[in-house]
Amino acid sequence: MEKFFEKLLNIDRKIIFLLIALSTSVPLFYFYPQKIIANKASRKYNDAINKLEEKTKKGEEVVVLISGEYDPGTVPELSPMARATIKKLLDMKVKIIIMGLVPMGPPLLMEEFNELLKEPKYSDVKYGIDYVNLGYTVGNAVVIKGMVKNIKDKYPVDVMGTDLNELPLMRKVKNFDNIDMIVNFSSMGGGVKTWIQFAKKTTEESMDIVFGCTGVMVPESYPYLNSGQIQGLLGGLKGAADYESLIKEPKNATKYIFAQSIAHVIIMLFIIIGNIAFFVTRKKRV
Amino acid sequence: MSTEIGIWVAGFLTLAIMSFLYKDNPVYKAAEAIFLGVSAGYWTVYMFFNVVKPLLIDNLVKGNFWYLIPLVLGLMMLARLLPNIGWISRWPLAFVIGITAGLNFYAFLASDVIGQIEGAIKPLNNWGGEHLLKSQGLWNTLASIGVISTLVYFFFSKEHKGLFGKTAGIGILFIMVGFGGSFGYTVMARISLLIGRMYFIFSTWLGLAS
Amino acid sequence: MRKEIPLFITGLVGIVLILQYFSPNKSINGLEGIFTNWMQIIAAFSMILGVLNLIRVNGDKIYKKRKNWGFSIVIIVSLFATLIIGFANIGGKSMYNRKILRTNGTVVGNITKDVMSHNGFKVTDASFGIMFKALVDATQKEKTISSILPKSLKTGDLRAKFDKMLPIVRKRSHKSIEIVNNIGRQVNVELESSLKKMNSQSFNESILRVYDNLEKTILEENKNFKLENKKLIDENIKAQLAFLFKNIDTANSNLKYYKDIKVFITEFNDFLSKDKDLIAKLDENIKNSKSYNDFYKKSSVLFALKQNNKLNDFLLKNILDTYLNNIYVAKSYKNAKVNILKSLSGNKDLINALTLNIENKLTQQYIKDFNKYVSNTEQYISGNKYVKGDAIIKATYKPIIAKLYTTEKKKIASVISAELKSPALLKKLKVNQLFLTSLIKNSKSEVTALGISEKSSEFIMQKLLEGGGEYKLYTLEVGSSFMEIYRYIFTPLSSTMFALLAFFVASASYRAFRARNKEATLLLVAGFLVMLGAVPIGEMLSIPGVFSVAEVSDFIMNVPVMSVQSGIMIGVALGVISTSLRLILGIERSHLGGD
Repeated sequence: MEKFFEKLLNIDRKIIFLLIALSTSVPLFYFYPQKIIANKASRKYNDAINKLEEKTKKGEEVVVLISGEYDPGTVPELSPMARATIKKLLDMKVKIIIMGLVPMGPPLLMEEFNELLKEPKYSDVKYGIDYVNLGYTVGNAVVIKGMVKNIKDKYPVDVMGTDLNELPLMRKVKNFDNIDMIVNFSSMGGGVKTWIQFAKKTTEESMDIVFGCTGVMVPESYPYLNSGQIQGLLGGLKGAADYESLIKEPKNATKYIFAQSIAHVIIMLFIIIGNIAFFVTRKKRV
Repeated sequence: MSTEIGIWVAGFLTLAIMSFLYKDNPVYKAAEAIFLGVSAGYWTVYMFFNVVKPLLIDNLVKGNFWYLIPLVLGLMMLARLLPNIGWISRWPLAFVIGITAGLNFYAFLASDVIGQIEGAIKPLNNWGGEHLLKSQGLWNTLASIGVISTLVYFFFSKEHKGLFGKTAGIGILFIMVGFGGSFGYTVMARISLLIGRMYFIFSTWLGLAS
Repeated sequence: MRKEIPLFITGLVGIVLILQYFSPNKSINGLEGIFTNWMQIIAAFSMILGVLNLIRVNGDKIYKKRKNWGFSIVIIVSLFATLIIGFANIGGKSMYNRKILRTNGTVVGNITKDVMSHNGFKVTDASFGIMFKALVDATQKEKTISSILPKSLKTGDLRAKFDKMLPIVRKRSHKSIEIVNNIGRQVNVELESSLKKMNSQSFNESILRVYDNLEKTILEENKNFKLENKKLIDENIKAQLAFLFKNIDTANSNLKYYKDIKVFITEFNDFLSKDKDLIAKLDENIKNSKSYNDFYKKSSVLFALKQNNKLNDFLLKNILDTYLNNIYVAKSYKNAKVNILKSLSGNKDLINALTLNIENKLTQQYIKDFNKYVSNTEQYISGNKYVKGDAIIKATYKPIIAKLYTTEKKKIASVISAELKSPALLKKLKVNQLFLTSLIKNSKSEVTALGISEKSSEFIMQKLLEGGGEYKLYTLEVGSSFMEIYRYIFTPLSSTMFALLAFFVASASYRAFRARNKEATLLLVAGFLVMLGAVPIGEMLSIPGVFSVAEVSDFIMNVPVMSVQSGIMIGVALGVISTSLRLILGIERSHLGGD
């Protein structure tokens, strides 16, 4: 028995690798509908976004700024949540401004956006009136600081080189006072911190910030959620799948999370087996 | 199956990196070398077109000669390559450090000290609700204890003894649970990215999975 | 000196930046922006420093042939390849100028000058398609196609005409270079004569006659073909006719341009009607068709020709498409030749034929015509407001995706602009943008878009989306070859490197994650619960009303994880703040080194 466990402890790690590879790939061939229970952070995110609806229902214009700060490497985690969020905002007839503090951010967001716009449902969504893509500009914190006072300082033209004055939406949105919410999708170190530090300073409580981040960044983002510095948090694939289920729009994240389930189970089984083997063989070692 | 050459290149490079899992091999090393070369090249080009051109060259061309200063400081940075005058690079470094220090000073104070302390002393009296264990008051209280005991644990200037030591003891419990949670999310993130790669291989590239 | 000046710099800059938080003074506020710009420039230089170092280290390795020096070569080569493509911009002026055109994700080709002009033709052609549609919509509204046809044209005797043409076509229906060359020559001769004989009116009439009969033929054929939806067939024919109308319409102002098309159409109709084998095959195809699409494909004259193999790809594909495109679109005679050679490589027969033809005076005349044609088109599109521009840009306005129109049977809206660098250029073309916008808005139908540059692509897409209705977007994705490197080399490599961590995390957890003591057990259990809570499968372990994995993991995240992170955050921030102060005040000097 002990010998068996000893062997087990010294199992070739390639077997573990193989099982992980299988568990992350095979489930992709199936779309297994699962009941997803959204966590508190995701529910807060959902609430924050739904809060905008009160205003839109009254006929007030609501403007949301979405900043993309991720690159293709983290697309599996961030793009699904970006898609779901944009969809929800479009459904609520919220005006959207796209921007990014990393070069690939806006194109990745627009990829999801354009995909959505192909749906006949959104055929009346117009560029310049319902949404604007400002693109990427270099400068991080300084960009945010500048935009707080005057967006045109940092973005005189949109991504296509059109003067902001020519875009009806941007004629109304001068600075962050005219923005109701900032949605930040980030995979970059620091994450939403820069936004908290520089975007909120002058606008005080008027504007909400919600944050979608990669799984690795989740723990460090929770304190901001707890302190109310951000109003909602979507963490990694879990957050994306949560939000997809909250808005009843299962897509990629819901698809991936099945594979994620299997992989987690495999890893946990390994940990359990490892521990059993460890305790069984411990006596001998001592 | 994709008909794009680019996707095939990307596919083979993905496999090349993954081949490392079997063992270190020349194919992996080559892919790694390509990665190193391409990323160095990419960031250089990126820096040039996003920073050097718009911020430096354009400004100098416009006749804004204040921008000679960062040019000179930048060139000083390159002095590192020459051992004799390597110390010159401290000037630009000093400049960068000054800016970072100046920017961080207030920003961190606002977001990570004042903001977090505010977060740690949220109302503790809200004990109602359907279930005691789920009540916001309990969670807030525990969170406050967590923050304080964690801070105490990391306070090494005083010996961990007596009440202070006991608080630190509570701190370590919180820290362990906290790190456990962080570990869980880290595992999740890694797996998610792997799923993304697998999706690329089986769907985007080979077109097998839908 | 070595230390004092850096200390002074750090202190000065730091104090200025701290002051600006509290100062309403604009000039101090502005300093922050300038300083951070400078910092970024310095950061860019440190990037260069890093690259130089990389070169030095690896160069050294190669020079001394140290272990694995081969991989150092790979590093250096990929570094320089990326740099060269990024900077030296093979084929373009900068990384932003070199574009690769894609449709539906497939690379069509690099936009070099030649390809530009080639695509220019297509795009222009497409805009003509829309234009014509709008014209028809505006003037004829819901009238059927047949009612558009002049009544006098409905009774042409196609057979007689076919009989006359048959021998010529027969002669040509063999392979070999010689014959292909002959076709080229004969077409030219015929063109010349027909041009002499015909004015635009008679040209129109002849084409209409041909199509009138074609319509009848197809309709007759349809009788034997059981299709549930006859409407579709009608629309189908309308689409074919619309394509023809486009030609006629254009022909009114540009008679010469369509002379080839005319001959082509006549020829293949001829061919169809006289060649019994072919017709038999066509019949059979139609009868065996299972669906509308199937039927359409099989009844298509083009398809039939191809199936029959009697005409090689030359007539089928290239006369209408490449041959014309390249000749007309080329800026110069020489250019045309190059274009043809380039885009038709792989079809030797064709190359020979076309090279021969290009020596022809008539071919040269085509090129002149083209310029005229382009300017006409320009006027047409912009509502008689002639917009001056580069010849290539004009070319892009030339009407359109005739090819897509025939092969995809979709109303095609397409645009725009060859502008590759200047957004201002796009502005200039605003008149056309407006025109297009209204067109697209009015045609509530499937629209196919094709854009050349990134900006025009985005524009088209937006306009299309504004129009309403269903769309098929020929993705307008355009990237520089530099971006291709990013997308296809950098991205997969970096994300796979990250993804590898998943494997190592798994194997490390197996080996090292042990419940050795109280603390480790806490860590393990918390990790477990959070991992379970993060995936739906975790809920299976919950006991309703007693224990919920989701809630427990929520608690762990919101209380212990949050508070620990918060504590660490406060600690780190205090550290950052005090270190910042120490740096600014010059107390902290370790970064200045020993000497």
